[in-house]
Amino acid sequence: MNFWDRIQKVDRRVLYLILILTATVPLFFNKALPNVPDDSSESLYLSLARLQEGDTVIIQTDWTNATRGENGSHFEALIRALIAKKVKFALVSAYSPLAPAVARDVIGRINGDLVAEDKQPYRQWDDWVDLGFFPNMDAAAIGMRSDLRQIIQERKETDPQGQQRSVLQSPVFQNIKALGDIKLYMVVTGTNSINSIVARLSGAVPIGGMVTGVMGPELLVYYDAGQLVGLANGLKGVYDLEQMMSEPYTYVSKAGVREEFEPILPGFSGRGTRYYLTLTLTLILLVGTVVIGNLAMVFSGRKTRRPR
Amino acid sequence: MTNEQFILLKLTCAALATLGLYSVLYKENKVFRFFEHAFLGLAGGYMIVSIWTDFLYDSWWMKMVGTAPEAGVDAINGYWLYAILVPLSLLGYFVFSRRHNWMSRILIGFLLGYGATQEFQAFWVRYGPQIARSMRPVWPTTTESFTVPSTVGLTDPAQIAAINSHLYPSQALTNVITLITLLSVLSYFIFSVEVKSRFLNNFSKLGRWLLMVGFGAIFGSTVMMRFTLLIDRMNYVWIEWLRDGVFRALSG
Repeated sequence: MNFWDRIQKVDRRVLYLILILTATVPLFFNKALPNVPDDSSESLYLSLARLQEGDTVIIQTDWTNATRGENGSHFEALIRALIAKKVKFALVSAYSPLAPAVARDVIGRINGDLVAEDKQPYRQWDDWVDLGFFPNMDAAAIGMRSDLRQIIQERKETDPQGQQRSVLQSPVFQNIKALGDIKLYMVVTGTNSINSIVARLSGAVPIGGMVTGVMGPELLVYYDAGQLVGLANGLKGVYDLEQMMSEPYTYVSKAGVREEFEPILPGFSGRGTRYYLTLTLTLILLVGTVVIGNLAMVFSGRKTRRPR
Repeated sequence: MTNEQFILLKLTCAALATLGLYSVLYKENKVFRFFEHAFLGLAGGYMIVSIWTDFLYDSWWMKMVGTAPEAGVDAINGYWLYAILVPLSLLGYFVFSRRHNWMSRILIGFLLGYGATQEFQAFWVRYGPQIARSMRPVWPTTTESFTVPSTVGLTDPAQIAAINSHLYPSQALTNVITLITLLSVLSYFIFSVEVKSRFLNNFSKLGRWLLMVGFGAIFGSTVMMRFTLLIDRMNYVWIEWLRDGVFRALSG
């Protein structure tokens, strides 16, 4: 048995172990890799950077812990940016009833970090509200487009006095008369739920997407056609956003108009930055093992018969 | 139990569930099966409660029964017509009855009609702008430079605008590739008539190849996503649970 034969017979559990080690060890080294942000990520960041204090954003949070690696990182970067810019937001979910609880957990953790840094936490009711779960988002989105206030008026939140009141009475919706008053509709999703939002709300409100690597390629056509103002695609999208949020950013339009933005979160380094090095190494491992496996197939004594 | 201990207990349960589910990588075992079924049961149970509390209670039950007057808040009348939704919805379960399954078709027909009508509007909103965007210029307006000249370092808006107003050969080439891809892939899906032209057959074959290139790119992106999920779970087990949870608790 030659070397290549032995390579061919490596137990798959050994490969799993190597993969797990590759996916673990770099996590302890928080090293940022050089990066050029994608166009779609830049456009999304621009939409976030242009938001003003007191604006209201709706976030459709359609992810659970099953896609936490990408969507959790998207959502955390988004919430931290909105809090830093003092933008009010409303959460809405359509994909899974588990999604609102998962999103609230993340906001709770971010608030914990703010308290630890002697900063004011972002308060539910005053700064953000949870509109809850909508089982039929198609119908809800059609309703939102025609009369946003009517669709959400039955959704209740607890005010600081402990009373259950309609979310419309919260400061988040104080100046919102219609969907057009919402500055940005962000969809953070691990599914194709963004398709129905584009179909129902496109043209009525600027829509931004934060999606998994599975959905990203399919959704780039929406960005290309101007139906999405920006798109953070997978972990690369998170890394792009985190990098742009932490540094001063200059945008020059095609007409030559220049816009300068201060860093939203100076020096910020989140999950995207931590995971990106690890992801790069695991992909190198994947490519390496595919190449070695193919070489072993060619050079080993084993013959494989092609199916007819 | 203190709050910190409770949080550590929660983290430990989740970490054990993660390790239990990953144990299938070694071999199929009972621990994996246990956590798999526990997850399904928890998700199913949570979903039922959540649909009631987040949706049905406010949007259906409270509208049906109304509310009594409270301090400072007027009573809201209930609309009993909402009760009709219950027998209508239950019609769906007649799909299991061989004799009465025609009743379920009433509901299915209603849902199909509703969905199809909505799809008319959705189709155009979704694809209209994409069709418009696919009409791209393919002839360059300048040959001064093959690629778009860099605008980094330029401060004069008029100069930047002048550079961006042209279509450079590299951009035109990109548009040509996009157009060929679009047309060849569309031609691949012509099934209604028999295509005898050799050119068209080869053109649709090119469309098939380009589709496969697209699928390959999507598959690569999917693999990247799966790796990210693994990395996140490893981050959870080693950093969030072990380092920041267990070791920190042990070191006081």
